[in-house]
This record gives sequence, C-alpha cells and structure tokens, in this order.
Amino acid sequence: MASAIRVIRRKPLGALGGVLILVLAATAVLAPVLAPHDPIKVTSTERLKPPSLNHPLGTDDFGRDILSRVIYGARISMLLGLGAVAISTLLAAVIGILSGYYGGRIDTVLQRFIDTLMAFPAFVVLLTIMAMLGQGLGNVILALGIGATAGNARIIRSAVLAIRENQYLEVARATGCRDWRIIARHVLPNIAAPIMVVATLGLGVAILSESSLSFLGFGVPPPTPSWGAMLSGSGRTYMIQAPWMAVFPGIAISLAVFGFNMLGDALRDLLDPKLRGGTGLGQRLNQ
Amino acid sequence: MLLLPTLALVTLLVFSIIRLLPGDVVTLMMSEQGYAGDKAKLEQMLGLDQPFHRQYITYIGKALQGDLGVSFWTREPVLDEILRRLPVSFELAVLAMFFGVLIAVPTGIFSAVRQDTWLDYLFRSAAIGGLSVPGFWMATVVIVSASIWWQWVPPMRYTPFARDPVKNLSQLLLPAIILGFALSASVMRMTRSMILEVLREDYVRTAWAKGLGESMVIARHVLKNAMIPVVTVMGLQLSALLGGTVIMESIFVLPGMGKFLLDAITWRDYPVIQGINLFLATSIIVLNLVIDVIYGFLDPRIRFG
Amino acid sequence: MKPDNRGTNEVLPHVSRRSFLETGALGLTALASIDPRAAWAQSKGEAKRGGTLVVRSGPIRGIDPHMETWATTLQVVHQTYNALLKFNHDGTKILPDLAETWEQKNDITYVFRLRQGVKFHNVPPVNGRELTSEDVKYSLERQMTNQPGKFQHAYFFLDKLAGIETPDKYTLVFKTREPYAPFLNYIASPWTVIVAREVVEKHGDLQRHAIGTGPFIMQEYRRDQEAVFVRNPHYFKKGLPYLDEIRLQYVIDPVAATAAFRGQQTDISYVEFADVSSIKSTNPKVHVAEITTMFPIVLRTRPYDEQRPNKPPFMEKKVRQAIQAAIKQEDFIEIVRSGWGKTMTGPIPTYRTPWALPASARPEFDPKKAKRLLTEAGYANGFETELIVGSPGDNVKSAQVVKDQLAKVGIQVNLKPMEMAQYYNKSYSFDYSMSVHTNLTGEEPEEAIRPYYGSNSTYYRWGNREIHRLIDEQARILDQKKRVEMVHLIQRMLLEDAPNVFLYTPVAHYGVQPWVKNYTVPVNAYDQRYEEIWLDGKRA
Repeated sequence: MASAIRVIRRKPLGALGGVLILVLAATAVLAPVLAPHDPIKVTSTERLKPPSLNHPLGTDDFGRDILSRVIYGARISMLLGLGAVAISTLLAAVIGILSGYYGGRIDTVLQRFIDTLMAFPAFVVLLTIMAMLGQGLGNVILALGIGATAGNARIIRSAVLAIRENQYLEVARATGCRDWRIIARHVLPNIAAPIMVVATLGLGVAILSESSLSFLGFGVPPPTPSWGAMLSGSGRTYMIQAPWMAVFPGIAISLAVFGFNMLGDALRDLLDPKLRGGTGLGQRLNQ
Repeated sequence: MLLLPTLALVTLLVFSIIRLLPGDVVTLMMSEQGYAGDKAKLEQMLGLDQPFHRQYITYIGKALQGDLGVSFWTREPVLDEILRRLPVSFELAVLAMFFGVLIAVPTGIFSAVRQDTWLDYLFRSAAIGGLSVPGFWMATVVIVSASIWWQWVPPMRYTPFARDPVKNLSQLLLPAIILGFALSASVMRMTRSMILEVLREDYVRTAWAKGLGESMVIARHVLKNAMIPVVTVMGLQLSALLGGTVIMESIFVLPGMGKFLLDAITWRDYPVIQGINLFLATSIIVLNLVIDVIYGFLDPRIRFG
Repeated sequence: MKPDNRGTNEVLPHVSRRSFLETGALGLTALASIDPRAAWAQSKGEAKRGGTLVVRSGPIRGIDPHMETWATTLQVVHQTYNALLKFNHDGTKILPDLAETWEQKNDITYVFRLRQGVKFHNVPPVNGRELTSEDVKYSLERQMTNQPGKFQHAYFFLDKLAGIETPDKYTLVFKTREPYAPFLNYIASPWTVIVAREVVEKHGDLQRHAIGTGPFIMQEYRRDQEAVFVRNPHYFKKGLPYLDEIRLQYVIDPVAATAAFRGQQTDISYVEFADVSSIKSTNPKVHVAEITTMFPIVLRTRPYDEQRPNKPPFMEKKVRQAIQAAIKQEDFIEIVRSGWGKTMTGPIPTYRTPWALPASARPEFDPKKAKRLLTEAGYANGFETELIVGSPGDNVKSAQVVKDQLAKVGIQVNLKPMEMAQYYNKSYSFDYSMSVHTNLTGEEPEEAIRPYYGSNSTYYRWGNREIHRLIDEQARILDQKKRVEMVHLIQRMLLEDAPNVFLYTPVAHYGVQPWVKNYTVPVNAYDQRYEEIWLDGKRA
C-alpha cells in the first residue's frame, strides 16, 4: 500500500491517467447497468433536446440519449483500442526484434517488407482494407491494427538497434547464452519502454483513427454508438444547433486518449531498468 | 540497389489488390452512364480485357518511359494530375512538420530536463491535449467560429505559392498548424522519452561529473543519441503526411494528393491509384534512405556497426 | 420585420398548404420574398454589367453532357452550351432557347425553326462559326448512341426517333416512330444541349472541353478545384450575359461550404438545413431558397425480372404491402431532415401536378394491418433480412429509421452500409434484398417511372409485365388528360404491387447573397443557368 502511494506521488499525471482508464474500463464493462436509456432506441419526439434531468447530456437527432451512447461508446473504444494495439504490437514486435537483433539478411528482407508497407500512406492501407472487407467493427479493428504495424516495427527495430551494441549483450553472447534467452532476458526488458510507449500511443491513435475513418465514411457503422462516429457525423452537422451532440463524445475521446498516454508515460518511467532509486520493477525483471 | 525490388513489389501489390477490390469498375462505369451497353467494348477501351500479367507488364513498360496512363473516368494523363497536386500536398506536409517540430522538440527537451516538475506536467498535458482532439474537429470549430464571429473563412481558392505567397499561406497556414499540433505531441513525447533514456547513460553521467554545464551536456551528448528514434518518428510522420492529409484537404479545399487518392479508390480508378502509389512509394523509400543516412550521422556506432 | 425581408420559410409553408398550382409555383414565391415591385424594376433595365459570380460546386467527374450523370456536370455545361428548348424555373412551361418556334405538325412530326445568326464560341476548332440544323442533328444523334462510355439518357430518344431531317440551315423536322408524348419534354431537358462536331472529332469526347454557343466561354477547368468562365461577347441574346466572369468553386465538405457562404466567399451555395437558422441570424440579408427536390428517397425490395426471378419473402405481394403499411413517412422527414421534406403519394413527387397522385392515394400507416398481412403470407413471426445503403449520406439515417419501424412489426433488418462504389455495383447488378436509394425524376413524368419499372429499365428491375405494357402505352397517348389517367393508373398499380416504398422527397436549401440579382433558384437541380444574373455591388 505504501509503495502504491509512493508511485502516485511520484507520477501524479500517470496516476491520473490510470484513474481515467480504470473509469473507462469500468464504464465499458458496466455499460448495461450504468446507461439510463437504450442507446439505439429511436424516438422522434425527443430529438435534439438539450441536457436535462431526464437526459443529462441531451439527445441526438434520432432522439437517442447521449449519455447512454457515450457510456456504450466506451465499450466500442476499448474494443477498438485494445484490439488494434494487440494486433499491431504483436506483429511489430516480432518483426522489429527479429530485424534489429539478427540484422544482416533477415534485417534487409524484413526492412524491404516494412518499406513496402510504409510506402502506402496509413489511411490508404486503412481504406483499402475497409474497401476489401466492408464496414464493421471487426474490420475496423483489423484495419487499424495492420495499418499501425509497419511504423511500430520500425520504431521497435530502432530501439533494438540502439541497445544492440551494449556491453552486456556482447558479454551474454560471448558466454554462450541462447539467442531466445538473450532476447527474453536482455532485449525485451530494455525495449519494454519503447513498446509501452508505442502501445499506449497506439491506443489513443486507434480511437482517433476511427473518428477520422468515420469522417470519411468508413468507420463503425450505425447504429452502433462509437464516439468517433458521433463526433464526425451528426455531431458535426448539428454543431451549431445542438452542440452537446459533439461536445460530449469529443470530451470522452480526449479524456480517454489523455488517460492512455499519461498512463503509458508513467509506466515507461517506472519500468526503465536504469532508473536509479525507482521502484525497481525493471531491475526485478532483469534477474 | 534494393530500391527497385521494393518498388516492383509495391507496384505489384497495388496492381493486384485494387483488382481484388469488390466493385467492378466496368459495371460501375456502365451503370453510371445509365444504360447497359456493351461490356466487352468498355473493357477493351480500359485495357481490362488483357490477362493480368499482360496488363502489369504493359503498365510497367509504359511507367518506365514516364507514361502512367490516363484516368479511367476523366481520360486525363495521370502523371500530369499528380504533378499538379504534388506541390500542394508537399507544401502542406512541410509546413505541418515545421510547426510540429517547432512545438515538439523544445518542449520535449524542456520536459525531459525538468522531469516531474510542474513545467513537465504542463507541457505533457498540453501535448497530449493537442493529440486528443481529432484534427477535423479542430478545423471545424475554427472555421465555423471564424465564419460566425468575424464573417471570415480561409480562402477556398488555391493559389500557388509562387503566384501569391500571402494568399497561399493564408489558406495553408491553418491546416498546417492543426496538423503540426497533432504531430507535435508524439514527436514531443518521443523526444522527451529518448532524452530521459540517454540522460541516464553512463557517458552522460560522466560528463556531469566532469562538471560540464547542463546545456553543453545536452547539446553535445544527449541530443545526438536521443534523436535517433525521434528522427524515425518524424520520418513516419512525413510519410503519413504525404498521403494522409485527405481530411484537411477536404475541409480546406486543397487540391492535394490525399483527396485525389481517396476519390480514385472510391471510384476504382486503377491508373490513378497505381500512379499515386508508385509516386508515393518512390518518395517514401527515398525518404527512408535519407533517414538512414541521418542515423549514420547521429550515431557512428550504427554507421559502422 | 418588414414584409420584403421576411425569410422564405415564413412565406413558403403558408404557400405549400395550398396546392402548388394555385400559387403558380416556387418562382413567384421566391420573388415575392423580395419586394415584387423592386424585383420588376431591377430586371427591367437597371441591370448592371460586370463582376464575378462565385458558385459553390460539388465534385465534377467529367463535363461531357452526353456521358455524365451528375448535376455538377451541368453546372459547367449550362454556361457554355444552349439547348433547343428549356424549362422555366419550376418546370411548368417550356421556353425557347436556340429554337425560335416549334410546332407539332401531326402525331409523329415536329418542326423546329432555329434562331439565325447564332454563333459558336470564337475558340478553335470551332472558331465562331454559325450554328445550323446540322449541328442539332449531330448532337441529338450523338446523345442517342449507346456505345459504352458514350451514352447519357439515351432512353430519351433511343428507338423512338424515326429520323431527323434538315431541309434547310434553320429548320429541323423530327419524325417519331409512333406518337411519343414525352418528346418535347425530353427536348427541353437540361441534358439535351447542342454540342459541336469539331470538338468531338478533335478530342474524342467532351469530358474536358466545353465549346458551345452559350453565354460564357470556359477559360479554365480544373476538375476538383474550380472552373472559370468569361463572358461570350458574341452571345446571341443581346445584352446578355451581364456578368464578366463566373467561377465554380468546388467545396466538398458541407460544413466548410456553409462557412464559406457565411464568410461571403461564395455567392450561391447549397446550404445544410441545420445551418439555415444560424445563417439567417448571422447574415440576415441573405436569401435562402427552399426547393422541394426532384430526388425522392425510396425503400426498395428485391428487384426481379425474367433472368432474375424473385425470391421469398419478397416475392409475396402481401409481404411487400406489409412493409409499405409499416412505414411512417413523417418519421423520416422529422428525424432525417428535421422536417425539411415532403411526403409522397407515389413515384412522382406531389408537386408535379397533375401527374402526381392525390394525397388520398397515399398508403396508410397501419402497423396492425402490416402484422396481419405478414401472418396471412405465412410470416407470423416476421423474418430477417439485409438492407444495403450507400455511405456516407442521409440515406444511412433513413436506413436506421426503416430498421426501427420494421422491427415494430417483427421484421429484423440488418443494415449493411457500404462505400458508394460497392453500393452501386450491387445496386446495378440487382443483387440485394432491400436497399434505400435516391431516385431521379424530371419534368417529364415518365422519368420517374420508365427507368425503374419499365421493360428496359436500367436503375431497377420490376418484372410486372402489365406495368411494362402500360408504361409503353402511356408514352403513346398524346392527349394529356388521357395520359394523366394512365400515369395515375400505373402509379396506383405500383402502390398495390409495392416493389418500392416511397419514403419522402427532401427539401433542400440554397443560399443566395443579397447582391445577386435576378436569380430564381430552379426546382430542377439540374438547371444551372446563370445568364440573366447581375450583381449589385459585391461583398462588403
């Protein structure tokens, strides 16, 4: 308990981020319990109502309660973020580590592959995948995950490169350690920080990308309440007449992205094995 | 020269994938004309009656001579269209990067050096704040507010920089700043992140111990090494920018490559999609080579490693 | 507020409660929103020459009037070309353009006399030569061809014209194969403009060149940026045009377009309904015209014909009628358009009297009846089906309302929004169960019917032979009264057979800056003629 308080004191922003994410996750899980109304029920008599007791965040152009939609939107955002990041981090880590650690021909081949993928602007990849698969939440997650892979792979590779020449790696190799062991014990913990940064940035990017995709017409299809769709669609059309339609999903997006990024930042600081006088998590990993 | 195989791979990949996209362009063209005419003739006119490999080879052959074909829908030469739009996207990308770096690197350094102070928190919060609001929303709010309060909007008519720099910039400045703002957050975080890493390296501590002033330490030792992944990120950003400015182009009415590509994908305009991808692929691969060179400059270990 | 400054929406609802015919249509009411006497004086001789008109444009794909289908093409075409005839702004009268006089000699013969001394633009390769009957003949024959990539609205005349004769330079004689009632309407259609042979022969098509006899000469054309036109000094209508220059400014994003209009960067612009009230408060002098569009939104069930037989459940007429009974049109108008729309009584929009069915013909909203019909058809527990719709757009919203309304009678609709290219592909291969679509109509009543339900229909397929026969039949009836009866009959059969449910006709808004004079926004969105506009001082 004492160490927890110490952590919060040292990293207040990170703690704040953590709290936000906990709230987000709890909202996502508890959505059916928390939401006062049905998020997709159409009621033409309740359209465009400003915030009131019955509808604390107002209603949209279909008469749907915005609070309920924002709450259920948390689910969608969590799914999007976690799904996309899981796919891209896994793929990127594999490629980046292999490429950076082994170097040589493997590196060259993989690099060409990465270059090929990166030669396509991110949104083109997204659009092409969406055009091939069609609309749908799963397809958006897949597209976002694949789209982020190439860039992340490069970052991970450069991080591996930066430590490859470090002394203890040479020592480990010289003493005959197996490659996978070296990777697991020495490379991974040392690149955990960049991976963490990459992953948390990616969570925010996934949520933001979905809103851009929605703006272009390729996001999560209605009536599923995604924050991005709420912000870029009717929220935008009615922004003068009914600003609450866009403001609240917008705040939700911002808080979520803020939270992910702050949390990632703090985690990175904590896991850094070279951090002197820290909580030493990284050091424990190293043993 | 490994440039060529990559390019070949890219073009082949694009060539195949767009033909796999659902939504047959021939049917599309015929139906848009409102009458079921002769499908075979249309296919012949578009060159789609040839087998796949023949199409590809013809295309590559022509491309090597500088002929990227004509658009299916408008019959305009693809290369001309690209060259017309390239300056717009390029200018926007460069301006955006400029603002991004302008904001990001100093704040990143500051933040790292003053880690865990209020200044650090402030900068990081602001950076993340900028990143958390989708660009299209920022642009929308700015444009709509300006139009309501001051009856002013950025000009919607594109003027090339050479012809009228003031008009040109007044149109491009706003989208560039908004894009730069979004970019700056990740670059700033990366800068801060890597500087913190390097600040703890032994050789830096040695420099401290030797009594070197803070700024000297930073400038001479820290920056160079910290910048490697930062340069990577910047490179990524630029690549993303070159084709990814479609939303800003839509809102600010800029005739750039992003919107051009989006329309081409939407309407299955194969020659345009292929041409743009070939063009972008070439530029991005060249860009990555340049970044690798910069790596070498920044970290001799990599150069000789 | 002074009466002459009252916003249009305070004038029109009053008007539209009576029939359109009674008040003589939109044009008069639009003018009436300005002081009628002032409008008269202005158009009579106080017109000022000069200035640049900036019009907001949408995406333009190509500018060949015989190949393209988008309204934005006509925004270019109507500056540079003329037609034999044209409609007035509400489509109730046919006016002369290139033709000076015309008459119908008998059931199958029409004679047109062209104006003399009409010159093409003084631009190579035409170089200002005179327009003759040969040009008209060439143009119409080009429009009729059905080679791929060279066709537009060929159904106007294909198989209908026996021949076009040109006894002299200024006379044309059209002979139809049989009595053909839509003939004059199609001649007057905004799409039937007269082009020059030399340009086609030089460039292969007219996708990037527009050289005609029109009031403006195209100076610059950048497809997704802008198109610039300058006055044609030799235009055959003396004194016209008043404007020096027209610029079509392409703005795709509707929010940005409204902001541009508010910021006075565009003079005429389509405006989102959600922004109308705020525009009126920030720019009170602006005129916002309300136009009931010609593009009804339609819920389609599975198309079928001989090659593609229908399938359950949609092959059951009772199922289709049940769907029709479960639909409440008012909800669509309220939810999707915030009230800016009109209900429908059939495929022809209600303002097009006498062709549209009367209000009494409208299918009743009766969910109980719907459930009963479903049970009778064997679907007491409803069924599940898929609905495709093009995205993005308003139709996605309409699709959600459809889903909601049909759920109430037990039909579970799974929405499948798809990007436009995919949607059109599926739509035109007639491979879907349900869809929400935007139909096209025109001044000619059969435009709302033949391309969808006729024997050679292209946008939809409905295999009801009796309806095919009647559609062919109505085109032969020259007596308007009798023809109206037949067209009514066809529509009633369509309501009975219920292949489609007609959801609503959107009402659109166009903003016109106060310094733009002598312009009435036409009902037909395809009509983009600006030759009579003049500007009174420009933006502040």
